[in-house]
Order: sequence, then structure tokens, then C-alpha cells
Amino acid sequence: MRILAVLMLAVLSALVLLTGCAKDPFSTREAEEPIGGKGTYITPVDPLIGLENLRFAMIEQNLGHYRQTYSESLLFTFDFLLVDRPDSISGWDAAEEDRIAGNLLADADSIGLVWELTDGRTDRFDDSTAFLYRTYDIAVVRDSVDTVVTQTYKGEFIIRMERDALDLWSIVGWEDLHLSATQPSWADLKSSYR
Amino acid sequence: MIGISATTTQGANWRSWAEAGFSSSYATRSWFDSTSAQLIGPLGARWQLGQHLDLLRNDLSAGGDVRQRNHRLFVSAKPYPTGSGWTLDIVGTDNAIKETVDRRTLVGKALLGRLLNWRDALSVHLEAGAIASRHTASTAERRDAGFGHRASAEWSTTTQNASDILPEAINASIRNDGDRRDRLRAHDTEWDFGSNWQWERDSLELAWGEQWSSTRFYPNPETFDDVGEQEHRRRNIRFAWHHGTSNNNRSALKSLISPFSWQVEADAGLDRNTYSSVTTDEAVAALPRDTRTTARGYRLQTSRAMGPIAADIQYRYRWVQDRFGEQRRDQTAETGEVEGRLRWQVTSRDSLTVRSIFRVTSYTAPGEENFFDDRDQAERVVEVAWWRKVSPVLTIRPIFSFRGFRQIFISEDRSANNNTDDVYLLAPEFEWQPSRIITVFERVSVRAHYRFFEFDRSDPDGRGTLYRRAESETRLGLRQSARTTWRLRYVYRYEDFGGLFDRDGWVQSVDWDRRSHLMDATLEWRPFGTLLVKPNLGLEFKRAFQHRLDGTEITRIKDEPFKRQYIGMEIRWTMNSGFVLRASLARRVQQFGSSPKDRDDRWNVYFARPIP
Repeated sequence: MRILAVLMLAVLSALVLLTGCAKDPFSTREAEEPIGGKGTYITPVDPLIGLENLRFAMIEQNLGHYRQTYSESLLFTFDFLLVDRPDSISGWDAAEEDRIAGNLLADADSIGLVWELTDGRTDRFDDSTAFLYRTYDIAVVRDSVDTVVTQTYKGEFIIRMERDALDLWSIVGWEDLHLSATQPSWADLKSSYR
Repeated sequence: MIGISATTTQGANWRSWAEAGFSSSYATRSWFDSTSAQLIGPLGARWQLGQHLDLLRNDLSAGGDVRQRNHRLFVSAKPYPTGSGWTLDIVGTDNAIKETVDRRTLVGKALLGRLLNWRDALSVHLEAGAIASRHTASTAERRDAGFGHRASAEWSTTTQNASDILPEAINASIRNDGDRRDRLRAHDTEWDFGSNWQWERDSLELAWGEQWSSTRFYPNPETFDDVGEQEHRRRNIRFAWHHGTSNNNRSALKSLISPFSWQVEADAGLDRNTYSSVTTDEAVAALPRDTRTTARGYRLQTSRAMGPIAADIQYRYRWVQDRFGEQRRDQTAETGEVEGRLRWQVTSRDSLTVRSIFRVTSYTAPGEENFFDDRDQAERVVEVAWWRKVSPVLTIRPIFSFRGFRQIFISEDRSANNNTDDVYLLAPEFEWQPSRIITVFERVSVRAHYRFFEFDRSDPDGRGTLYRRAESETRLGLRQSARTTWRLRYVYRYEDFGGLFDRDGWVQSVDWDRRSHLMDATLEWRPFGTLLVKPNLGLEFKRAFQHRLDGTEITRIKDEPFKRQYIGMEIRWTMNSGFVLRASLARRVQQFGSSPKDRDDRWNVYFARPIP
């Protein structure tokens, strides 16, 4: 008899039963009646709408909307970081971006973000791909017990958006660039929450 | 991209392999080459020499000024007589960023090693040597030199007469790397264990892996004043049991269960990073935050085939907990998913495929202060595809799919954003080949994407939207002769988009609509067998209208038209000797209304041939 397999299955079944390791895939929790403000999110049927959704998700610190602006195949890359790490990397994927965004949007007390088309660039649109070039300015405010700290992050990004299977536009490539050797960029802001 | 790839075998004593390439996209240009040669000597001694170069250059410029320039160089060589058991690894890396910052890191390493084997079951590799590095920034430089080592052992065995208890295969490996330079040091230990049991209709797999590492590094790459230390810990455990079907069961319970095949898989993991400062306290503020992720999950699947019907159903569970030191944003994600699939071969000409997924993920924060981001995400997918071969020359395939995504924030702070996305798609397609020279393909798809916010779905000023899209794609293939084929394609697309609210049924207020026409033609011409010439011509028009409400009348205002043209040429030459040359040129011109024309030219060349 396959003693070992049966034993392992028994142990696994006991663990599932004892620890409640199961989740109902059909039901969700009840939401409270809203008192908070409405967020801004428009169905991204155009790349520029998708980009605006990203800006509003940052300003409104809405993780759910932020997460819907990029695809599962997102690759975020940067030129360099002002604070180094031993695992020298040049970017991360969507799963890492989820974690970083969760930390960042929950930790900041308010976020300001403005951007404009990068000098010397024009956005490029194809039938299912778009390249968008922006120079941005981010202000992150954090309150502590006796002080309010505002940090600014400036840089440029090149975002590549693609039309997905639902015909909606989402970010698949995001390259962040510094403006100078001392001015922290969006990548530095994100990296501090890794 | 330009690439060269070649392999050759020179008798029994001489093997070589080479590859080189160049690719360019946007402002990034990269070159690479890789070569490997192996010589087998008269007394069985084998020498291997390998080299790999990876050079990347990234010129990013705005307004004519070069803003950044990166290059990366990696060279490795392995010259050693493989038969003797001695090894030599020489590795050099050069990473540089120029213009915006001026940073460069050079690392060189040479390790001499000894490879030992015992009865093909146990192999041990011991290496030791020198390592040196140089970090350079605009105003500072730091050199470190020291020694490094690498030790690894692998053991694998298979049992000919495996019993119920003894596994059929076991493999285990352990590795320890490290180096110690003046102020820098690294240490990494990893072990993995895997085992596999096989019985008549069952298989069992157990695996366990652990890793510990610690690395000292310079957190400030401009001054190299401080030294930080990262400690990393990883653990993975995996269990998998597969049970096949059986027709030989006597008891009632067994006869009920045995026609099914079963799969059970489970895994658990831990990933933890902690950071500390080795030198001054000021460095602590600049160090990354500690992180710890623990995860566990399992999958249960059963499947059964009953004549023309095959069905399977599976349940997946996943639990992931993220902890970020003193961070406020700790989170636990728990997912449950059920997926069912059915395939029914109704007749010899008809088949039906149905697939359905139900998934809920709950995100929960441990602290009250983070409750505002607690949320559930629910996904539902239903796909139905019917395939019918009407005759040997005509096939039809209607597809229906539904995808629903619902996001529910639990707290009153966020619940105003609770929304639902429902997408419906109906897409019949058919392929008709009335003769050997003509192929016709037609696909019509109709899609509706409803998005509404649950707490303002009846509000005419709410944020609900409806996006509708209908598309017709026609493809025609004409085989004029054995050497000439024409391919024509025409796509017509209608889209509209606008607000959506629920007033005893969904009501849409259209904001805009647009119509697109895409046409392209391709000729495939083979003037002689090994040469293919493929010119391509395309045209695209787009007309959009904005909808404005004037009193009670809706007027459509025409937007500026969009036009795009492209022309391209591809040549492919393949010779019997293995020589391949591929080249393509393309020009695309597009224009919005009266704005200036945007022109884009691209070219690619690829060349490959074996080394003689």
C-alpha cells in the first residue's frame, strides 16, 4: 500500500481542516455605506485616459485604481538609484509593483503629481501600442507627531501602453529617468518602499 | 536586429559554437557575442574555452542633449582540461552610467577549482581564488581586494527496486559561495533536496530548499562612506501527488472513485530580507526597509473522460502575508479559485468547449489604521466555443465569452469606489477554401464593456461607462502560382463610448463614436526557391464624432480625421548550406487632421551561417 502518500495526504487534509486553509470563491465581504470621496477612474479606451487614471490613482491614493492601470506583464525599469542595494537590479515586475504601491499609497498622507510632455518628444500611437513621454514633479507629504515633511521627486518617464484582450489600454513598459545626479526620481520613491 | 549564429562539429575531437548579434530599439543598442570551443585530446583529455561578452549602450537624449549613457560589459572564460578535473573561471564585469551621474563599477574574479566525482552519484566542486573591485563616482573612488571561494556538492541516486517506502529518485545539492574584500564581503549558502516515488498509478514528489545569504555593500554610491549589510533568508517546501485512473476495483467506493484521476499539490515558502548598518548610525536611515513574505497554497484537481466528454475541475488556494518592518502597510492576501473545463465531441464534425472560473481574493491589513484599504476582488470567467466543420472546405466557429471583475473596498472611506466591470463578447468566425488557390476568412466580433460603480449606478451623473465595439475582419488569400501568393486584409471597426446609468434598465449617453478602416496587401514572391521577396502596403483611416447635447437635441461634431500609411519590404534568402539572410525595411507616415506628418522608418538585418 502506498503508505507514505496516504500519510502525507492525511497530514495535508488535517492541516486544511485545522487551519481553515480554504476560501469560498463565490462570496465576498459586505462593504460599508460610503462616506469617503469618489475616486476618478475612466474606462481606458484610449492610452491618454489610461495615463490620466494613473495620475488620479496616485493623487487620490487609490490602490485599486492604481493596480488597474498596468498589466500583469508590466516591467518597470530605471536608469539608477540614489540609494544602492546589494541586489543591484534595473527594475521589477507587476507583482513587485503591487507591493510597492500598496506601501507607498498607504504611507503617504498626501501626494501631489503634475506632468507635462517631455521637451523634444511627441507621443507615438499605433493601432495597439502607444509610447508616452512625460516630465513629472511629485510631492509626497508625511505627517509625524511634531512635523510635516514634504519630499519632492522629479524625473522623466517613457510609458509603453498596449491594448489588452478586453480592448482596454494598460501599461506594459515603464522606464523612469533621473533629471540630475542629486534629484530623486519616481524610481527612488518607489524603491524606498521595496 | 543583426545576429549571427553558428554551430559546427569537426569530427569527434573538435566542437565549436559561436553567436553574435546587435539589436537596437529606441535609444538602447546592445551587442553580444558568445563563443565556446571544446578540444578532445588523444588521451581523452578535454579542453574547453568559452567567452561571453554583453555590451549595452543606452543613449537617452531630450532636446538634443544626451542625458544618459550606460554601458555594461561582461566577459567570462573557462579554459580548462575537463577530463583532468581542474577548472579555471575568469570573470570580468564593467558597469558604467555616464552624463547624469558618473558611476562605474569594475569587478574581476579568477577562481581555480577541482571537480571530483564518485560513482556518478556524488560530485563535488571546490574553487578558490582572488577577487578585486573598483567603485568610482564623480568625486570618490573605492578599491577593495581579497579572496573568494565557491564550494558545491550534488548527489543524485535512483533505486531500481523501489518499495512503498523507498523513493525511486533522490537528489540533493548544497552550495556555499563567499568572498571577503577589504570592506565588502558576501556569503551565500543554499541547499535543496528533492525526492520522487513512482507506483503503478501514483507518483509522489517532495522537495525542500533553504537559502541564507549576507552581503555587505555601499548604500551611498556617490561617497562609499558607509557600509550596509543585507541578510536574506528563503525557504521553499513542495508536495505533489498524482493518481491515475483504474478499471480494476472491487469495492463500491473504489469503483466510484477510480474512474477519476486526481492531483494534489501543496507548497509553502518564506522570503525575508533584513538590513543593518556596519559603520555609522546615519547610514541606517538610507538603508532599504526590512521585508518578510510568507506564503502557502495548494491545488486539488480531478478529471474524468466519459466517451466523447472530458471534464476536469480544480480548486486552488493561496495565502500570502507581507510584512514590512515598521511600515504601516502590512497585508495578507487570501485567494480561493474554482475552475471547471468541459470538452464534448458532439459528432465527428462538431465539438463544444466550455470553461468557467470563479475566483475571490481578499486583502486584509492587520492594523485598524490600515483598514481603509481592505478589499475583495472577485473574478468570473465563462467561455463557450463551438467548432463545426460544415464540409471539407468550410469551418465555422462561434465564440461567446463573459468576463466579470468586481472590486469591493470594505471601509466607508473607500467604498464609494466599489465597481464592477462586465465584458461580453460574441465572435463568430468562418474559414472557407472553395479551391486550392483561394482561402477566405471572416471574423465578426461584437463586444460590450459595462463599468458601473455600485453606490451610484442609478445616478445620471455617476461614473458608469459603456464601451461598445464591433469589428469585421476579412482575409483573402490568392495563390496565383507556386511562386506567387497574394494576401489581402480589410478591417472595419465601429466604437462608441459614454456614460451609463441604471434607470429600470441600462441607459447609455454616448460621448463619442468612431469608425476605422484598415486595409493591407502583401505579396509573397519566390523568384527562385531559396529567395522570398515580400512587399507590403497598408492604409488606415479613422473618423471620430463627439456627441453634444444642445437643449434636447444631440449633435455629432466631426473630429479631425486620422490617416496612416505604411509600406515595407522583406527579403529572405535561405541557402542549402545553412546560410540565412533576412532584411526588412518599413516606412510609416501618419497624420492627425492638419497637424504635421509623423514619419517613422525602421530596418532590420539578420544573418546566420555555420562556421566552416
